[in-house]
Amino acid sequence: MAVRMLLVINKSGGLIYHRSFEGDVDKGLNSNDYLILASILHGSFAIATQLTPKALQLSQSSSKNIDYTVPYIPYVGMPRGRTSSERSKYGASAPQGKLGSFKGDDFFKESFQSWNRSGVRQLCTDQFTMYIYQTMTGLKFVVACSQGTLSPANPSSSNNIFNIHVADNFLRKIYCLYSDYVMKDPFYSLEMPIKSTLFDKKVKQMVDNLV
Amino acid sequence: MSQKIILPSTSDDGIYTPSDGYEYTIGPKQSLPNEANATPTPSRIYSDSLMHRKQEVSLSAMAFLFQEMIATIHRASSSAQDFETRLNGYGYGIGTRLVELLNLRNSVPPNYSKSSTSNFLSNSSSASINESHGSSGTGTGTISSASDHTHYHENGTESLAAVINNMRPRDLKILDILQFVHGTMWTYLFGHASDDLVKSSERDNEYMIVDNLPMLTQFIPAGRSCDYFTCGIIQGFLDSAEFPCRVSAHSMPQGELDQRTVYLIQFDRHVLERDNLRFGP
Repeated sequence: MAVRMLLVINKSGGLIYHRSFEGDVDKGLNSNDYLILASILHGSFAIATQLTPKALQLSQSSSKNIDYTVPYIPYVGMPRGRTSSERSKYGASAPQGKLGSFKGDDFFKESFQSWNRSGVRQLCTDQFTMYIYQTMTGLKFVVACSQGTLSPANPSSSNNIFNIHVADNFLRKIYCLYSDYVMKDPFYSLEMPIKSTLFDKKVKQMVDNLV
Repeated sequence: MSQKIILPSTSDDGIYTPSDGYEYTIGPKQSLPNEANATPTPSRIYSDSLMHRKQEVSLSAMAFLFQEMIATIHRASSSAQDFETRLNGYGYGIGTRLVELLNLRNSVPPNYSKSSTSNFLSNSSSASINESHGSSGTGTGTISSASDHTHYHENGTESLAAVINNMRPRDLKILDILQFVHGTMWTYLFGHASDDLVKSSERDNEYMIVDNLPMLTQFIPAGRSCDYFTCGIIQGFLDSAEFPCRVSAHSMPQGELDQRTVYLIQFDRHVLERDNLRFGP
C-alpha cells in the first residue's frame, strides 16, 4: 500500500517532478533514467489507444454515453484519523490556511470527470502497481505503490475499479496542490522542473496521511 | 478514435464576440444623431456607497494577480533592494487610502448595518480545480453579491454622511494605532486579526506584528521577500496617520508554522518623543 514514487509529467512528455518515498527505489536510477522513464511512459500512454482491441473500440464508439465519472471517495490523503481536538488546535492557529485556496476540510466533495479516456489508467506488475491520472490539459500525475490499492480503509481491497477510483481521487488532490503551490508561485516557469519546497512539503504530508 | 487532449488554437469565428471597439474591417462607424448627444453613463463605482458590505474576493484570482505583479517587478528590478522598494511602493498607496476609509467605516454606528464585516480577501474559492475541469463540479460563486445593500444606494439618496453622528477621531497614541492595524486593518484585508502584536524588548521604537500564515504569500516558497507588499500597506497607513516609520518583513518559522512572518515596525525617534510629551512616559 505504501506509495513508492510520484511523478508529474508535462504535456510534452517531460518529467517535471519526481519523488520517491522509499530509499531503495532510487538504486541504479539516476535523474537521466527518470527522464527516459517518463518519456517512455508518456509515449506508451499515447499509443495505448491503438493497442486497445478493435472490438472494444467499436463498442466504445457505438455507445457514446460511457460514464467517465469518478465518484468522490471521502478524505483520501486527508488527516481524518486525527482527533477532533487536534484538528481544532490547528484550526485555531491557521484559520483558513489549511488547504490553501480551497474551502472546507477537503479539496473537493463531488464526483468528477476522468479525462483519461483512452490511455493507460493502471499498470499492474508483480512488484508494484502504477496509476495514471491525466488532467484536461494533458498533464499526467503518476503514482507507483507497492500493493494494489491506495485505500487505507480496506488495504486488502481487490476491487480493481475501486482501487482506480481511490488513486484518481488521490492524484486529483495532488493536482489541487499543484494548482496552488506550483501555479501560484511567481518564480516558477511553465513546463520546467518543480523546485518549490512548499509543494514538496504538502505532497509529503498527503502521502503520509495515506498510511 | 484519436482523441484531442489539447485543443489546438483555432481560427474559429465563434470566439470573437462583438465589441464596442473600433472595427478596422468595417471602418469608422457613423453615429446616430441621438446617440451623439446622449449623456455617457457614469461608472457605478462613483455612486457606490463607502458603506460596508460583505465582499469576498477569490483567493485564487488574487493569488494569480499577485503572482503576476511579483513576476513583473522581479523582471524590472535590478537588485533585491530595488525589488523590495518597488513592492513596498505598490502597497504604500493602498495603506494611505485605508486610513480614511477604515476610520470612516468605524464611525458608522454599529446598529446601522446588519452585516458588520467586510473582507477584502477573507476567503477563497473552492473552484480553482473546477476552472480547469470545465464540466465538473459546481464552481461556487465566490463574489457574494451586495444585493442586501443595493436598495439603499442604487440612486444615491441614502448618504453615509447622514448616518454618522460624530466622526471617530484618528488614533494618536502609538499603541492605539497599532491596535487598529493589528485588528481592524488586518480584518479588513485578510479576514482575521493578525496573530500577535509585540513590543521589542531591545529598542523602544520597535514593534512587531506577527502573521502565522500570510494570506498573499502563502503559495510562494520561502527565500524571497514578497511580504514587502504588506509592509508597504502598513507603512503607508502609519505614514499618513502621521506616524512615520520603516517596516520590514522577516521570516521566522516557529515549530509547525514555517511560514510565520514578522513585520518589524521602526518608528522615527520624534514619534516617540511626541508620544512621551503628550501622554507622559
